[in-house]
Amino acid sequence: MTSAQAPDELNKGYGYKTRPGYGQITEEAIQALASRIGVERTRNLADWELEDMRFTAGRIRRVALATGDYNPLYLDMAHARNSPYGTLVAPPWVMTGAEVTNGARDGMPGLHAWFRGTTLTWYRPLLLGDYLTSKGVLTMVREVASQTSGRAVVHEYLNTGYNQRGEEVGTMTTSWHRAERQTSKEIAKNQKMRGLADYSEEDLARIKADYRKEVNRGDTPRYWEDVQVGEELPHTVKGPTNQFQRAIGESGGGAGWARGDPGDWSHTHANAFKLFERHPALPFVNEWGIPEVPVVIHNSNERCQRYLGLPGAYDAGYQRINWSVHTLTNWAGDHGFLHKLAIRFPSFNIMGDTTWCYGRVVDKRVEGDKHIVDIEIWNDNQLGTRVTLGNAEVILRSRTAPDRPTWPVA
Amino acid sequence: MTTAATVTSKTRPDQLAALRERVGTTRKRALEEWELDDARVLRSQIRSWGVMTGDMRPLYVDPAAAAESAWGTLIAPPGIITCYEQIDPETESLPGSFAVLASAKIAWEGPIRLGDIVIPETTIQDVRDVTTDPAAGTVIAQQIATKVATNDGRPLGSAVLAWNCYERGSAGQRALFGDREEAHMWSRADIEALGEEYKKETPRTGALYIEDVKVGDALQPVLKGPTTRTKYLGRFGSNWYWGHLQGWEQAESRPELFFENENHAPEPIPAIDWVHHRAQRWAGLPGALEGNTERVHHLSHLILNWVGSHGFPVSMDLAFPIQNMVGDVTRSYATVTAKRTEGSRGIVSLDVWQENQLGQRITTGTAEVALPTRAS
Repeated sequence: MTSAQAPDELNKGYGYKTRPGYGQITEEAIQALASRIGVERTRNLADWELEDMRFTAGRIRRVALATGDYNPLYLDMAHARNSPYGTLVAPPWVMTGAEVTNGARDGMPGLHAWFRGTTLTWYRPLLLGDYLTSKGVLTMVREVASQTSGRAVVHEYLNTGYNQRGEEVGTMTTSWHRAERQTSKEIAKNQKMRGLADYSEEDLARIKADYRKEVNRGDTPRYWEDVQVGEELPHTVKGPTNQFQRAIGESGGGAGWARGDPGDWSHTHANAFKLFERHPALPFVNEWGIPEVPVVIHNSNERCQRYLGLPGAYDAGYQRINWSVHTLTNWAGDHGFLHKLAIRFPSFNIMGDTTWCYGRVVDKRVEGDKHIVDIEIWNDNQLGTRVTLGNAEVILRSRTAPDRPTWPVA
Repeated sequence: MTTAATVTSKTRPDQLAALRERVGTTRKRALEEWELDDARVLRSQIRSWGVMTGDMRPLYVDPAAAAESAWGTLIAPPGIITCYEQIDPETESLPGSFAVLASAKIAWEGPIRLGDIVIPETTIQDVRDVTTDPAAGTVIAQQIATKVATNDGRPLGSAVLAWNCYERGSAGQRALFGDREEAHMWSRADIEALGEEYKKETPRTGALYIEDVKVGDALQPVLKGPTTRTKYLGRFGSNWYWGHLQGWEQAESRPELFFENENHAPEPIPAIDWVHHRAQRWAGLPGALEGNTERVHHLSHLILNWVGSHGFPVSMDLAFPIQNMVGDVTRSYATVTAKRTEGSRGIVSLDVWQENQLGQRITTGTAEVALPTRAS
């Protein structure tokens, strides 16, 4: 661009007056948020809105392909009909759709938000034609020590997902870190900055070769008795991500619809002007003087560098959940059931990074009639940086009762 | 895969010959019973189309209001008929090229209604070399026709879209920007004035009858923009690229669809076209262009504002001689040129056009609109 606005001008906002305390952590803001602890929230979906929550074959396909998971349970009706599910099944990570309240948009407007981690628990699968509805509560708000002199707050949520029969299909807890944007900038300045990924031909050849090593267990049962503590799961590899992939991946393959309400960033034309009048501090002024929703800064490395002083566009974290689930379900096969995944994000993924997803069996046990394997999981990027840590529980079939299904889990 | 600083493409004779061989080819996906739900028009989908085109009229979002309309239920925005094309002129027909919608002929049998199961059928009707200056690069025109009907055979309409495919990095591609060197810069006063202009929009709430229309009537213009592109990305699906392993396989089998990005990794070429800084960096262009299919939505918005809840477009015949850059505004205009009665309905003929903030007439054409008669 030749005459784009100067950075100082860009950061002034859209010229509307903002409320006192906007973008700052104050006692009042913390207490206002904390007053909602325990208050149940639902999406109050009308019947027609349930359509959004239903897993059609096309929707299942899109969310699977957007994650790069080609499991025939999701894509091949002939295979799925002969599986324990009897039909197409939605990938387990769709449970993230049970999140009623995204911490980035709950309380303390104007603060920066980071997704710290999540714990997902599954009780039963979501099959073709099933709906996912949910309710959620804020469970905790506390001020924490910041990496700089600024203030920071952590808040957490419990979301519970249900199918159309009212059966609980799983839960999702989320943990969010909130900091003042100036604090965020200081953190960015102070951290050891890294550049964008830069791949040689040899790097790309290695990534390509690692893709070929992916193993999907498929319809061969993996029995609990055959699992050895210490055994490693075949890894999966994801990326290098790019603008195109991230647009697909973070939207679940475009599987959702734009609602045009305040919880949705999709506002265009007159609706965008109305939105910015209602929420005057929301937009940033883009390079050409046009107010835009701030989330679009994260759509490109160039804008994250320009507006945030960061090396590139960091991810929201959700794709790493999907990728880790892919690793676990590849290993468990059609007859295993992923029951639990707890995951933390100690470092960002930057657009352009490649992520290797690993796992190792750390324990195995029997609880009632459930044969459980405990697995530690982790993701490393191309620099060897550990970007994800976590653990999982997978329920496998037992040779003592080979026909006993691994779900539902009470 | 393109590895040069500026991404380029060349249309090979064998590509063109293969494409010509496909003239007459029709694609219509046969859906099994368990797949039909994906073709059903949902209320949430209609709302989403309204959101993305900036047209939230009650006919799209309010069942009670829609029930009082001529259609008795929610309907989809008319422009959606352009979105059912089953053959991609850019990524499929001439992979790596830069496709621009040059003109559109659209006919509606009536609105797409809530619950319709929509089955499209797309045919490549014509492929022509329309190069005017070989030194500026080859330009290939593809005419692709899509008939849209419900799964039980009720016709909904058709869209014949003419795409011009330019070689990337060519003078012909650069000429699409005319003499513009950069995207339009807006001042705060400009933006605030646009906000006020939006408030003046007054869509008709009841019916417009043919008897009330006079030749020479001018429709109230409709403003759209300034556009931004990245806010759409979160709703982005894909018909051909999903990344990861499939991305690698595509990059190997169809390298002309990829360029080597800032990470020296393969990325689909269309990602260059979304935002200015990427178009500047990778294509050496002044910026990114808008897609012209949105112009059909904007004109539909103009027409439905005028006709109210009981009229509907019958046809549009549009040419898009000038391209808008991302960040431009589009104002849609129309005047009544004729009116007639056909059976129980009235037909109004319109001259339609669109202008951007520079006063450039970016769209020209005609439209016909069906209205009720007072007798009906």
